[in-house]
Amino acid sequence: MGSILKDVELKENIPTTILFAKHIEFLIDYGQQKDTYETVMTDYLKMSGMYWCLTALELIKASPFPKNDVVEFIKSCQDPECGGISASTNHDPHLLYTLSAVQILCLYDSLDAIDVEAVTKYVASLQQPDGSFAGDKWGEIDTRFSFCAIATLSLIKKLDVINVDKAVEFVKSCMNFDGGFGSRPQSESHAGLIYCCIAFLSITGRLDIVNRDNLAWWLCERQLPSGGLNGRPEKLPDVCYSWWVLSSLAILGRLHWIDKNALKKYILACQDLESGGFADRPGDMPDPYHTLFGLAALSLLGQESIEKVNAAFCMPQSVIDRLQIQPQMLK
Amino acid sequence: MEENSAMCEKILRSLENILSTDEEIQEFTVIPTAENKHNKSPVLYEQNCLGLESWCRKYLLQYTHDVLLKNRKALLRNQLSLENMKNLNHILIGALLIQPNVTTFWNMKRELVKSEILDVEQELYFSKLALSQHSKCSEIFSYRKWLINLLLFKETYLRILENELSVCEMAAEKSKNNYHSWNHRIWCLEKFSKQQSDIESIVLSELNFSIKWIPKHISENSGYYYRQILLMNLNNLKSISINIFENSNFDNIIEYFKLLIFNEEHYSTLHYLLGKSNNYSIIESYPKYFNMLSILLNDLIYISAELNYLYRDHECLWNYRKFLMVYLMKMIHEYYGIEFTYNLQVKNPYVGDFMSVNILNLDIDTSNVGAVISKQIASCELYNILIKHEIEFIRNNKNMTNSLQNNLAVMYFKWLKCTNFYNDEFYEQLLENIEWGFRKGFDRSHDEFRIIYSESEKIKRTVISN
Ligand SMILES: [Zn+2]
Repeated sequence: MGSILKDVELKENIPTTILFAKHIEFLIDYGQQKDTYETVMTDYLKMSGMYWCLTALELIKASPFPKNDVVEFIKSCQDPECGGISASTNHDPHLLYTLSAVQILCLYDSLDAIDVEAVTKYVASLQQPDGSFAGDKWGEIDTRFSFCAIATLSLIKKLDVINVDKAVEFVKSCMNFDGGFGSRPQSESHAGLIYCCIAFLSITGRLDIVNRDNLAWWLCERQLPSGGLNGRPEKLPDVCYSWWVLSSLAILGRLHWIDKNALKKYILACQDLESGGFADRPGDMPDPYHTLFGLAALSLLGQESIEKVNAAFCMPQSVIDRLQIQPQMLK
Repeated sequence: MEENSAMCEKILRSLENILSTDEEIQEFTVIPTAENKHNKSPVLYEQNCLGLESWCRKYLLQYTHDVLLKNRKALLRNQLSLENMKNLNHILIGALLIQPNVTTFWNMKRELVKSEILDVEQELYFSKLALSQHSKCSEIFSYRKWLINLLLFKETYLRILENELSVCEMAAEKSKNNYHSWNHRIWCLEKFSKQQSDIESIVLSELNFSIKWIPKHISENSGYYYRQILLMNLNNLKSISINIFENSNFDNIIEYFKLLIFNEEHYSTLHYLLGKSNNYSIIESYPKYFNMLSILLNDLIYISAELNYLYRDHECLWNYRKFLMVYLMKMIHEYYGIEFTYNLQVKNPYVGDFMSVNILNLDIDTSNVGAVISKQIASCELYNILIKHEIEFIRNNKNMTNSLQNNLAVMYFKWLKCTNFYNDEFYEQLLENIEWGFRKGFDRSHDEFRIIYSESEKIKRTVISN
């Protein structure tokens, strides 16, 4: 009986260098599509799509899209009544896209293009009595939204408008015995949500509540023989999970606990030789989402030809420095 | 364009019509077809199954997006006539069956429910159908939670819970490790346990469900995790009756560990394993300890061990074992009134930037980190049995010819050595103290770790020789 380890095998002819020119072409092409089946299909997350593309381009020092068009689009997505920002024109405002919009505006140093005061009020209005955050007025609760709220307020320097202690208390209540976090109290540990919670605690300066080595151990268990990282036990490796695990380890000061060379080899193998961009696994279809997280992970791994990335915000470190934000990072 | 709109309207009305007349549809599927060859309707409907040929998806997508987004703000601001509001539902049905992750469209449905144009029960039915095709879609579960909250606002129905549990099972069967579906199940459990007085029987029937689920989904961590949640909920119940588990469960344990006692009286076993307590609140909780021990130990020696034997190479099984060990340790400490938090104490060799290796593949030096075992714990029979049994279990699995299972055992041993409830010296003493007969099968070189990847071994050697 053969081994049933869930992993991928890296083939001989995989890319071993970063295909910069191809990625720029891929990202710009993606951004310029109009009125295709794909653009209708992805309209509901357009704001995040733009954040992935623009941040990825910034990380590889490519000239971004015309600033004016982007800023005008974001302005048109801010709801005049509640202040929240939607994914695209006529869609409903949501914390997920409010954060993406604020991240893009920080990248462009254009925060004053929107009504920042209204954003502040919107985010604050979504905090619940137990400290958690709803994603929008309909009330779904998730630690992802706690992260979005804290990251947004931190970027616009308005953390003082919410009850941070309560917010931390809620995130703490989502911690499991293995040191990991899930989306709600009693939810299974999941690398993506661990990132949200660890980045949240980094921004609020409350990493003291983490059981560092229990969690780092669990995160190290995510590395497979192919070098790639998965998000939960017995799942396949994936470039986006590589970022979430890696950035959490970076914040915890435990980046050196995994095999960095093997991970780098895996991420490089996920590049698409023909079209450019990164996929979740070698040979799959590339997309901007995995392209950003692939590049960001390579940056954390010390790739010098990529701009330094901030592990908590997934934004260029230079932008975070300009804003004079210092998320907590353990040594 | 005009032509397409008319075609889309026809398709959407036909979907709406079928959904409103047949309440027994179990499944919706998009059927891959290259193009519209026969110029007939793409809606297929037979034997409680609803299908849609994929060629029409792009037309429906464009049309529904256009109509819905054009009306979005008007609906929000109550500027639509009743008739126009009603005329949105067939469009929403089509849009959401094709692409259910568009939050804005679910929000429009929410508004129609609030205006009493849509009915809560009918919406639970529709969203279940959407789940049958898109079983991992978090927006659908989110919508269901919102609907359930509306229902519970009025009354508590066990029927709703039963329906939700079956919807979760359907979604979990369709997608492996379906995070949203298991999360929803846990959310329901929590929601209904607040409403329902008979939570004990719900937890017990769920434990029953989970014991059947796990062997059929051996590599799905979510299934084991759900069982952890159930055990923790069971432990938190104010009172559990003494005989919720068959007494024979304990007979199994006694036989397995070859304990020198007879299980005639419930608490004699408890006293043997944990000692007699003087603490009144502990004595009061004897039924809880009895039940929890029974189920945790049965899971350890039967579920975990047996499944490990039948299905090797599963990280999830070892993972569940970690939970059981930590939980048992927690219980033992709690029984003695000693504070316990599970902590790993990793004293790793210096790994600098020049080295690239996963620390789990290194020989982790625990020689001077060994946990401090308090006198009370050290003399607890159950603690001794567990430690001895774990080492034995690891040994048996390390001796497998299969390298993956071997690795998992090695990793587990490293983990155990780093926990704050294991001490090598203590284990050695334990072996000295037990009778010779028990020592058969042990050899003393048990702490030799194998380096798993030859690559990291090479790196390690160069580091050491430098
Ligand atoms: Zn991914």
